[in-house]
Amino acid sequence: MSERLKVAVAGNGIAGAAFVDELLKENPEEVSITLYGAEKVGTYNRVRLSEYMAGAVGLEELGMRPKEWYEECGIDLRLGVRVLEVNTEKQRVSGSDGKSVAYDKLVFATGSESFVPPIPGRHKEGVFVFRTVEDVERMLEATPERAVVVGGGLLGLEAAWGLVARGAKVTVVDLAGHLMSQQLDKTAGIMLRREIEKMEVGVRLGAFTEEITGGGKVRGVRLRDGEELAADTVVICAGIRPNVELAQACGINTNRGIIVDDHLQTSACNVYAVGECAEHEGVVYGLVAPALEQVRVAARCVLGDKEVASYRGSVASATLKVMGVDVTSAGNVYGEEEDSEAIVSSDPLNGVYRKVVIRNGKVVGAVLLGDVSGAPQLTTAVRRATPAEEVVELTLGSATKAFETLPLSDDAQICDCNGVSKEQIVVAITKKDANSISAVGAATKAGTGCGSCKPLIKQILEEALDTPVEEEKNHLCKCMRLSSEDIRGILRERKIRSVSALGEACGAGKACPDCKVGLAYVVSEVNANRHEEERHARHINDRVHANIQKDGTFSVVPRIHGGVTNPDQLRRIADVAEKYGARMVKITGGQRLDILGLKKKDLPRAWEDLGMPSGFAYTKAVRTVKTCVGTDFCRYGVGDSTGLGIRMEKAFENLYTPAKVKMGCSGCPRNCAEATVKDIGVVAVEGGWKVYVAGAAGMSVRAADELATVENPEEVMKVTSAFLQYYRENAEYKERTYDFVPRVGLEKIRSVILDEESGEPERLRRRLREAKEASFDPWEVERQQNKTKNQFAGVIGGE
Amino acid sequence: MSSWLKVGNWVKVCEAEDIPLFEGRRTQIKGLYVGVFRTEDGFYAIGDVCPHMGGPLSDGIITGTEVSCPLHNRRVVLKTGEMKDDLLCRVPAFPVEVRDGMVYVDVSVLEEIPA
Repeated sequence: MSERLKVAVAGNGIAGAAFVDELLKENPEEVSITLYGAEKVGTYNRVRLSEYMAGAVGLEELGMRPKEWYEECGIDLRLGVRVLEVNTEKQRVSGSDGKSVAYDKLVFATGSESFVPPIPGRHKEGVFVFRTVEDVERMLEATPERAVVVGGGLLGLEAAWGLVARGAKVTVVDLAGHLMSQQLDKTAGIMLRREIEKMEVGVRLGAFTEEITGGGKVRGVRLRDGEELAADTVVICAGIRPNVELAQACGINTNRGIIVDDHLQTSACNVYAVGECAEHEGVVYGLVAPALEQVRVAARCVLGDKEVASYRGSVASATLKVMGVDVTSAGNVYGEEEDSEAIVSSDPLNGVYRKVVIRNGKVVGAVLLGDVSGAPQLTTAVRRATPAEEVVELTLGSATKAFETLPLSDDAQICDCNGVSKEQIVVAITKKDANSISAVGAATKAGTGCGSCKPLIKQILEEALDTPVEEEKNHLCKCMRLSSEDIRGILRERKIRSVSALGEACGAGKACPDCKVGLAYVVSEVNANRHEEERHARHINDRVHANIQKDGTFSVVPRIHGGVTNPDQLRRIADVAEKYGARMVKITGGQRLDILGLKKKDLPRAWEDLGMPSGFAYTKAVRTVKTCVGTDFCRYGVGDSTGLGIRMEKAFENLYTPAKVKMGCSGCPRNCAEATVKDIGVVAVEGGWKVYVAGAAGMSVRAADELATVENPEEVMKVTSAFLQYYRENAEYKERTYDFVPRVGLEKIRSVILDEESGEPERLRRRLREAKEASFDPWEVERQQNKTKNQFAGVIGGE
Repeated sequence: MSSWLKVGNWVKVCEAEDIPLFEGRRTQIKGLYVGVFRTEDGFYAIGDVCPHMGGPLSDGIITGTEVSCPLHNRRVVLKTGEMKDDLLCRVPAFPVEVRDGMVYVDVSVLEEIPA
């Protein structure tokens, strides 16, 4: 242990975490790392912060690492601990945990803070900055209705986007003459403004924020020209301020940032700085990719590879979505120097603008808006100062064609979020057998940020493997190529509650009828059944709550909990069959009775006569729980399977699912209820119950997987509830559990739904309860009131 | 028969209100089942029996100006009665007019169909 290189890292943001990754990648056996992180949560993907704000992704998806990961890697992680003091002579750091640690090498990755200009009123309640997870949480807790965002840069627009998605009325105020003045030239800025104003976001440019008005709480913002903007929330996004205080206190040279040389070393021996806190040749980079370039060099230097590793500055470039508009910016976007020229293609009607700035015949900058095809090639061209002739075609109208034919060079940056080059991806494909987009992501992180480079990764995969790569996404709406995950994101982000509104938002379900019913399920699930029900998006079975037969008549299956009935129910079923001329009454495989051949117009009266709840035999929902007689009668029974089966059926009835869910509950291992070929099965054993999932005895035959063994019915309910909700939230529409579980992996499912300590199983159960609370028996509700006019009419009007 | 209607054999079938947007309803004219559909693009009327296996098209799902049969998802173009999946067969399509909140269907095409 003692000969290991002791490395202390101050800061667990993107740069700090990437630095640790890089060190481990080089030589995990040779280093011992102490990692200080002042934020209460671990590393996260700040690129997606506005999505988190819009509710489209959860904390986990922000890319946080579990604690165990650090343990496994032997990293001494000190979360919530700030470095208070550094003694660069004795090479020791002391943290707010009161402990002092010796280092051989120290790396500052202290990042930056939001810069808050001295606007009067900036301390009022309702004023926020937009930077960290905590910022977002605080802001959303305040449920903003009218907001002013001070700062029309990248971060300001991200904040505005998040607020709009939460239903707030937003105005963006900026001192500059156009939006995103760091990344866009004036023309692009004007076009972006127009696109943004279409979303009813107000924009004030050349506007100086004089004062934030109100008493204790924000009432509005007054601009220098006298205009007052009413607001309950003000978000300040006026740029970043590198965190340099600690370095300063240690006597390290600082300017705006911590000054570093080409080896990322500071003025102190064995002390380095990377990321947004570092200043190299007068430039502080606020983007991820330059930070990662620095990290690579710094890691090699820390490991003693100084001769080879040197940092010569980055070309600031980014390809991203700003309020739904695709934007790429690289290098010098203005081209205002006398000797600079530009190749420009502009289509303001369609909001497309493409410009490449040239100096001395070389590409020095690029800005793309609305159509970012060819962005990686152009960004690379900027980085390498490629001769202008090579990019003319790509910049102008023939972009699409050129895009296909222009080869990507090995050093072309593919993933801007994580700074991954084509070469790194090719290495992952050829050396590490990464043969899919997600495998490439796992190996290199490419495509795991904003995801916009995935089509390029696919292209590289296809070139390298010389075979077409299967689309990984299972598209729910094939016409618009949207996966259920995409749809869920859109629904959450825009708080959409109906299939029609979804269609308006993204076109899903508008071009062909194939996915409408699937969309209807996802809409209801995401909204926990508090959606706006639209009958036109449902199959006829779900409009009239019965199963259409080949002759256009319907079958009616009332619910018989656990298959246990009584003479009174049987009498009523017999009466209904006679009264409405059923063509057949049949005992089903799910231990209930099917009345076949009823007319649509008779359905509501038949339900009334039955006085029993709907069995949901016509739809993708929880169907039955097949039971045996358990300990009540059976001389072998070891558990009350009838009681538990009925309890399960009552707990889960009226819930819709991606595909039908059949259950079984057996009172002993003889398993008379055939629970091991059910979607969810429970079998009593001596001293407890075994819970099975993903069994099938239909189109496929599959023995169920044993999920868990638990002690009592209470535990059975907990495990099966968590599983059911996990399935409801994650399966593809029409995907039965026996396809879903093998696809996702039993171990993965176990790790989510059995790990009570993580709190996730309880969250799943809470969401299940929430959905259940808003569920209902449609036979009860709709026999009294039709959902749409003539819902059950056989024939209307006519002659 | 109202004088404003174009020449043809127009039959008043129901109130516009009887058919919710994006849904269809079955009516019967001269013994023939006719499905009347209300789309974003207005009302359409076609023969209501799917040529495939006789499914009630008026119980289908409407998208744009197409309906898919509830039995086996055969798709029918509401404007023409053509089957998307089978160009050889079709159902009759009837002109529709809405006036004063009433839906009228021109069934003169029926006279051309051999009994």
